[in-house]
Amino acid sequence: MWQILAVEDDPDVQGLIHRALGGTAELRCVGNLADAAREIERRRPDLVLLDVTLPDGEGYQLCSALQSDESTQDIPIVFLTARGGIRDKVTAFRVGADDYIEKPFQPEELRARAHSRIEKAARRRRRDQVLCRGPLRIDVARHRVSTLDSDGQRDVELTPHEFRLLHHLARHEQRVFSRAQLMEAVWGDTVVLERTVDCHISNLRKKLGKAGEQILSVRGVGYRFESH
Amino acid sequence: MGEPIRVDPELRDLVPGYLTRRREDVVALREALAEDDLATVALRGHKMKGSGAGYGFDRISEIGARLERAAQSGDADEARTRVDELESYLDGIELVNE
Repeated sequence: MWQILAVEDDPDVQGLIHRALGGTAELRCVGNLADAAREIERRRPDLVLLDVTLPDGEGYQLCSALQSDESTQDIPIVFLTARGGIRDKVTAFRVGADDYIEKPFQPEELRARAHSRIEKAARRRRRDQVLCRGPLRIDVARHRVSTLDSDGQRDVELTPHEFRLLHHLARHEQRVFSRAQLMEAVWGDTVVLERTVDCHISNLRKKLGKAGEQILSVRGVGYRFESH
Repeated sequence: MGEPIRVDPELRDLVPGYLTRRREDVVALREALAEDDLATVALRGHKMKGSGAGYGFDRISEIGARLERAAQSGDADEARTRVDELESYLDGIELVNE
């Protein structure tokens, strides 16, 4: 069952949200930003319904925080607010809103919009499970990598660190990473030398053949990935 | 003569509580106006605006919006008139179950 978190301090509106979504999702309601942040950390929701005017601040703050965190930035956020001014709407979309519903709302419309957002996000997540970059195919769910060359498709055996390194670079195509950034993204707290990154890149290039040419060295900085 | 309001079957059990809380709003709004507390008036108006039509009471949303605007512009007399309007509207409601 879908998990929906409603951040709404008015019990009357909470009642309407329950009627709209209660039967189709596991709905949790909190009345302020602090409780919302705790709830999201405790259990990741599939959708956040967010009021703007809350006792401890404005919903925009939470939206910004979720958007700037890689682990939460793909959670759809639907603002549900009685503020109908154009400036409020623009602010909401600027901080990362996926939708904006003005109160008063009809429960049926809320249900339709919320479901649409959740389904879209789920489709996007499924699609992101497979990255295709030029002749390279990275299946994240199955932890498999294959390349396509003149001899056809070929599976490539990678170590877990090589896989993580390749996935990180390919996922953030065109972005230049320093060795230190790659060490943190791939090895986390484990202490490794900068040379270790270079060794893994070298191994990746050898194993991937032509597809490995998509990993480019950026002189004096580090590495970036560019699709052919 | 009361104003007949059709109640959505999905909301039938919530509506009486909702109307009771609006009656409580009338009392709280008068107290806030007596103390020149327009911030409270604006907040209550804002909340009424956001919930009324969702329960089938478009008029409550309208009154809430006017209350909020009046309080924000410092017009206590206009706010008092809207509170009176809310009270008489609540007195006249006749619920019709669909």
